[in-house]
Amino acid sequence: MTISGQVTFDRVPHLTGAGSGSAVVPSALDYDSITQDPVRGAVVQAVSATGAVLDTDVTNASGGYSVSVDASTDVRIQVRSEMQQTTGATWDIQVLDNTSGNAIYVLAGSLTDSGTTNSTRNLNAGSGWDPNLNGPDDGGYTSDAARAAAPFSILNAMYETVTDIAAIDPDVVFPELDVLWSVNNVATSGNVANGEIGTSSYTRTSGGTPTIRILGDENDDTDEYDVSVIVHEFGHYFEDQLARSDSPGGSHSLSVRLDSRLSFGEGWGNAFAGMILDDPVYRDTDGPQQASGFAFSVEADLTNPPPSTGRESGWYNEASVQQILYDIYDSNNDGVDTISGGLEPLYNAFTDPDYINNVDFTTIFAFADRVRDEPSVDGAALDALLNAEDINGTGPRGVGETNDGGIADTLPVYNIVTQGGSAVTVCSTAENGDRNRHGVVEFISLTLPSTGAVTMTATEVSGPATTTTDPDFFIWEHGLLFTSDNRGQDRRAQSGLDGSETWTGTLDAGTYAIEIFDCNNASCGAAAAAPSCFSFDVN
Amino acid sequence: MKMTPRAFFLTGLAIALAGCGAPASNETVAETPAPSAAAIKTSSVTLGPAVSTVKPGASVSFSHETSGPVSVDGNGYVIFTINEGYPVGTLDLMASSNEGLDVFGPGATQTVSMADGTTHTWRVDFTGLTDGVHYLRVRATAKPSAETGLSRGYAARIEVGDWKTAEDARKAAKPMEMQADGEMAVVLSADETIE
Repeated sequence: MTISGQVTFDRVPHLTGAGSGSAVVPSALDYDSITQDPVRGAVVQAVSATGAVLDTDVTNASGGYSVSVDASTDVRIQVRSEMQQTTGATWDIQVLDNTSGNAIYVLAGSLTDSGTTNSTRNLNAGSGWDPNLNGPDDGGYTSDAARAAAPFSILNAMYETVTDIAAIDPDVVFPELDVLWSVNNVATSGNVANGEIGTSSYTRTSGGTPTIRILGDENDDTDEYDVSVIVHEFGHYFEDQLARSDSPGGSHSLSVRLDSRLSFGEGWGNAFAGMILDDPVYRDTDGPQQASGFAFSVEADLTNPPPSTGRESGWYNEASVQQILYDIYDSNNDGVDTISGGLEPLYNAFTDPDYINNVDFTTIFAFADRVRDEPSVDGAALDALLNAEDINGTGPRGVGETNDGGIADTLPVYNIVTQGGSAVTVCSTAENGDRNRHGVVEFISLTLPSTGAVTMTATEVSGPATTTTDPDFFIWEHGLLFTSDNRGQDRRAQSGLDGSETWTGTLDAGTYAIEIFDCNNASCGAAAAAPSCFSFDVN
Repeated sequence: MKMTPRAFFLTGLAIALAGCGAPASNETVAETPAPSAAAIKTSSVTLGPAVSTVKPGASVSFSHETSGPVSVDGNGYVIFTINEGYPVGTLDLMASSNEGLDVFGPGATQTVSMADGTTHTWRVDFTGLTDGVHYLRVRATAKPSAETGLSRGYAARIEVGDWKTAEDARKAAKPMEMQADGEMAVVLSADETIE
């Protein structure tokens, strides 16, 4: 007997309002406009009364499936929260319950006799929302278990993303991805098995399966329907797994000047969400009944006008990066934007081995330097986009950049040192905040003409009068930071609070990107944050 | 399987290191996306620690201290420390909880001036209502200008009464089912129509 049917889920949209213009505007989920959308690309199983899998299919673009089973047999149709494609473009993405031992979700129908004729079984994953649960027009989820649509809403966003990319690269291989979602996922860091995930995030690992974590805490922050958030995090997965990301991660905001590796990654994530969802407005809801939140457009010039918003244009601002990248993509030629490249030039640039293995850090400079080689990206038009955001440095290191983001010491973007050459002075400040903010870290580029012994030294030349500085530096090689390299060397020089730092070892000929900072300004030191400068040389 | 460009790089690295005497299995590396555990193991190198990128939101970070576990009907408090990165504007704070806690005292909301420094503390008092692990949440919405602010949330774990027994019962109530291959699944009931 053939059992066929359609699998759908309750999609909860957002209140879209009048658009966001160039400002941040409110956002909310719209439970009055729920639609039943197809579950696409998901694994469907026909299972027996004993749980044996009798047949398997994958839902098509309409959510349709078809399985074959024996006549007059008790059969249950179940849909796994898993998308798998093994030929052509391939992927294997699962949504798992991290509070239940990373168990997979299955949407289960009833155990019903298959009969003696072909039949249809349509399954819908409900949202569980009752608009009058707490009284007239005072809604809520009827129970945790009733929120069946959530994992399939997440999968739907993933499907949209992988198929858009597969349309550009039919042979793309997406590494395995786990998405951890639970109704218990709450905004505190702790034991992930208890749902304490901190916030929705992507975790870049040095091994194991890359992981996206999604909040599910009703009346505080649920993200299963905030598809911008989901695709944003997928953008990080894409950049990390198919391209390269040197982002230090951590909290960030449109109105904060950031480490340029972070501003690039986050701007990409925001823009990517707009590209995949065909909607430049990024939306994130929270609060009681998911009725509050914020939205902004990656197409809008959010950095103009500042200054009251704190959003200043530049290479250190994700709002600038997202606008540039989205303008490369979109066909709406607004402002100085005359590029209508679609996703392809961006994909090509990100996945180019020359970009991935480049010697410099992944910033808007390195990416712009590569994407301008794409036939659909006119160099002058790209420069216009960059210049409109006060980004005027050239090449992968932003040579000649004049926008210092209010901290003169952050220029040049890269300091160049040579072995046996003159020392350079580099500085660190937490003026914009600590950890991952603009000014905490400076970049140094070092080219070694031959393999051999190397000694790098950072020595304090200025700092607070009453405390000791703590210079640290990391030596990156093609975007990789080795804690134990092929010679067993830790490429991180991070001794204690003594005003100096030395790394001695052997390095191969080549170019290295070095990040140097005062640990006190990066929240890892023992003393209070304070501006400091160091002399750095290589011998 | 097509190799990602990054895998090419690590494969080359592994091959080079294999020449240096490191144990190598190039096939394993070639089929594994980078940077992968297999590649790292094969090449006998290790990379820096995991990095997490978080979703956009307000430039706000949190920490907290609690008065400790409370009994059912007992009172406790949480002192939240909120660090924000704005020179001006207001920071709206809202505390909430699930049905296991009752927030009381000065109130569940507060607005502070971000011009008065970047670190703010806020005490929130509560009563434990039911046994279990509950979360006292705080949502901070930063408004450096007149437009809608970006927000960021945080939660403090509160253990009330016999919370372990309650937690065990809550987890046991989850609709789990073992699949034929031994895999565990959380079963969600479908709205089903059969024709």
